[in-house]
Amino acid sequence: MIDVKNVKKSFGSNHVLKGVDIHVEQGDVVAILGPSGSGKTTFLRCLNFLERADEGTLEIGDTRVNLHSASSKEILAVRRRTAFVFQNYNLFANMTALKNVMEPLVTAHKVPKEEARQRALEALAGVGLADRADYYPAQLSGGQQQRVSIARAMAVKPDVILFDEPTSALDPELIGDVLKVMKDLAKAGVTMIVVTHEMSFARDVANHVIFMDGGVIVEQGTPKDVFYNTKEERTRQFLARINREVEYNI
Amino acid sequence: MSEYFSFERVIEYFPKLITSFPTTLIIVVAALAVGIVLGIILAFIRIHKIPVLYQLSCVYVSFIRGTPQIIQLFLVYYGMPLLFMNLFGIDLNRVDALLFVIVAYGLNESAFLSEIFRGGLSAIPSGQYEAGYACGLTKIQTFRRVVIPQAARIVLPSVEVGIVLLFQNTSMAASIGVRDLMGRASLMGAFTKHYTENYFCTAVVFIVVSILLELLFNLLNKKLQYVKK
Amino acid sequence: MNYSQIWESFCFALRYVPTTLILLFVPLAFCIIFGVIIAVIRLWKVPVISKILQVLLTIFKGIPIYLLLVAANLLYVLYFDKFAAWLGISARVANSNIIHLAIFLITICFLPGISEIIRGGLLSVNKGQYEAGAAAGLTKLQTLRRIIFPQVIPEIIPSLSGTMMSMLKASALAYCLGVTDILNASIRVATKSYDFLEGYIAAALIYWGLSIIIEGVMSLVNRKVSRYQKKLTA
Repeated sequence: MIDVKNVKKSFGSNHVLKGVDIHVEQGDVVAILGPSGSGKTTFLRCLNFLERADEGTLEIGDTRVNLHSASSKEILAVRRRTAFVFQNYNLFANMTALKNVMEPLVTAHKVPKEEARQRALEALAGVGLADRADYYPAQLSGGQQQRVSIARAMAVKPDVILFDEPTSALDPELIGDVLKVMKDLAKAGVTMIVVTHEMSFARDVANHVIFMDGGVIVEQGTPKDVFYNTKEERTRQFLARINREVEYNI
Repeated sequence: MSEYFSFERVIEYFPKLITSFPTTLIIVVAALAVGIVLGIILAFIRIHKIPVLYQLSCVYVSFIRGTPQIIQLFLVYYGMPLLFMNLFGIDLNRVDALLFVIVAYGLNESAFLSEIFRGGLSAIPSGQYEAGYACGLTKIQTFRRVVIPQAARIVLPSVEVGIVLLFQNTSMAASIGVRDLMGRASLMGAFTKHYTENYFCTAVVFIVVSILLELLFNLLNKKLQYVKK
Repeated sequence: MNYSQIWESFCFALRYVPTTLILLFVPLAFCIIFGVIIAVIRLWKVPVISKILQVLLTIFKGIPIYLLLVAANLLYVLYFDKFAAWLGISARVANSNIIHLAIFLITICFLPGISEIIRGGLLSVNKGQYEAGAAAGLTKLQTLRRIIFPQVIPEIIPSLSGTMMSMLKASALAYCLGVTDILNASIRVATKSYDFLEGYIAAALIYWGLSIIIEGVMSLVNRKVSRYQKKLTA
């Protein structure tokens, strides 16, 4: 359903992405892992044109665009078929939680206001925040803000939700709530591409795991393949280090 | 075209006009000196909420901030001689108009600077004072070595705006007959019947000095930056 | 001191408060409209135009408003007729309305400051807000209008309030164009008896009152629009 081919991107002389391909089917939950600087966040941002790739194509449903030279009309079309969840939430600071969820529905998707309100309330209930509908972002905790931002993403019923390290900015005790919401989404069959450091999520929720390093995909497969039948040395080292950190944290 | 504007005349008039630049400079420096001294006193009164003086200073600052400077200038120009005559029996009618300008602008500056100083000082968290005292510094040492350097950086942009404005507002002094840049330009315009060139020269001086002031303050700002990014 | 003259000037000048308010609000409206356009052009770094604007703004920032008013007035009176004749239009100084010139000049003087304030406001909004707008499928203009501007407004209201007071005070300089505003009216009455000081005192009192009102109203507005920035007090 989603086909991404040969994404390349440099910042000056720094080649961040050296040709990345992925293929995602309807209902897939793809987890992208990798050390910082591996290019995984840049890759995700390129898919939504938050960064302009130097090369590459994106096919989503029946839409096919060039990631480098797409027109602003095409970009808008892609953005209206996808949703993005940011590391630091980026809720619209001037709007309540409810208005935040309604905004893409009303302004970008031209859903009538009353219907948008209903759908937004449902989405907020889905992330367990129906009672916070009238709160402004500044009045919510980080975890709550991130759940609102997930509600904002799922309310438009996108073809795919792109998650950029959704739990990295959160205090450890708030991560659980957000992960649970994401797990519910996965169960409901929502297609997701998730850049994450949460090994448990990748292992237990994702059905496809991608390990990136140095701007290329080093290894990919089912969680079982990548975590337990690791083929590549670089992946092994990365996983070993992560596991040590996890033990250390405990 | 040369009937209205010619560069030869600009070049001819410029040296004559620039001789009055020192007068403009005197107004700026003197008014700034008066303003800083009075401003510090006012800020002190307002921070420590000294009774009676505090209320008076609030009214004073509100009045200066709320009325046009041109009116303040005329109030001083017409009011000060009257006041001195009635209170001390001193006749100020023969005094150079420059004095009134300096007094009026100094008073104006004092109100604005006191606000700026007060804002800068109250932006320093009390923890900074406490840390200073805890290290064994005296009150004055803490103030001079810890508080002032931090406050200076905060107030610098506002002080810059204030000085540029003060400099530009000196042009109004011409309206009570002071022969600063602007006054001189009006005089020479009336004399030569070529207003355009005279005002053009004056505008150029003001623009150039404003830009120079901005560059100077940028430099100063970099000097005072203790957090390097 | 002639107190009855102060009162007389005060009452007469009060009738010209509307003129002063026109000299404040009309330029303010122009400044905001053009200020937004200039700020957005500079924010998006539109090639050539944004550079030209930057140079123009620096130049206009350097010209004292008093100089501009006096010079423009003289040139206007001296050359307007010839210029109009040259253009072949029948307008003449004698029957033109000088307040239009005053409005134009005050706009020019405050445009650099106000566009700078708006630009600062735009820059103060977190980059993530633009990205979130884009990711939600909003167009650039939709993002500006619905997400960014509502956040910019509370950000700039304190500076705008200060600028409005500066504009009010600068409008008094329109007296040198011969516009009958508060200052001119107040002086005109007082001049008959040579009570200049009294005239200026009356004018000062009115401006003072207006300033206090403007500051009060703006701080009220500020409290209204910045509701969303407040954290809950637990």
